[in-house]
Amino acid sequence: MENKKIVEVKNLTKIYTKGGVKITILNNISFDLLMGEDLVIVGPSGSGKSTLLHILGGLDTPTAGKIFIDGDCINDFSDEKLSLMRNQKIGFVFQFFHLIDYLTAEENVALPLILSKTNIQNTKERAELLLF
Amino acid sequence: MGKFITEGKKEIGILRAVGATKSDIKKIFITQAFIYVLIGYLIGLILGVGLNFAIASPAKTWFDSFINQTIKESFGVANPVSTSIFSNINLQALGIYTAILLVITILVSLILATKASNISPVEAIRSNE
Repeated sequence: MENKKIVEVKNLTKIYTKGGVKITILNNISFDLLMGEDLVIVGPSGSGKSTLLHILGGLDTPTAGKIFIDGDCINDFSDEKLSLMRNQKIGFVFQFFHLIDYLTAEENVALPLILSKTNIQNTKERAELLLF
Repeated sequence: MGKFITEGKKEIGILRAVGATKSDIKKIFITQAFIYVLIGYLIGLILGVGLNFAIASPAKTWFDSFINQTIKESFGVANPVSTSIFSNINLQALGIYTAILLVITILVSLILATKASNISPVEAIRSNE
């Protein structure tokens, strides 16, 4: 079980086109992340760390290469499937405070459960447990 | 209502990151638009009807005195006019305006919600960085 690949990246490339100029952000990168393993990605600002994480989280699409999350290739996932994957399998901790201002702290914490239409009582209990 | 999207970009990014689908974003924006319009409509309705009743009595008094004094004194005759015109609320017109408002709200909220749901999650997240 410990050797199960949770994330598998194969020949990932991301190219942005800005003003007709192609900028390669990620150039043919490959790596695996096993269950229970920690991975730290370091690099200077603009080196593509966020782009990589956005692609791994299904928020952005690669120009080339394959991404496998928990054994599933997410390249061809529909919007519904990608959203479900983000909801159930990915947790984002943003660089800046990304909170919804008009929601309470509890509601912000409970947001993924609210979106997954979990029972309201369970949602409240889990959010409270995490906060207090 | 266009401000919704610009101001809501941050929320779109967060919601998409934690698992909201395009259709969830659409539903949220449509619901928001309807809530705002409903609040505006109710405030307008209460103010409109309230002002109508508040002004009806002084307007009726002024009109009565204008008819009975100025017109009667000047011309000798005065045709009495029903004072109900001051406090009458035209329910038919109210219904028509409400229906028009509803159609506009549906159209505008659908357009904006579709636009909002098509914003790329990355663009929405980066808009706040």
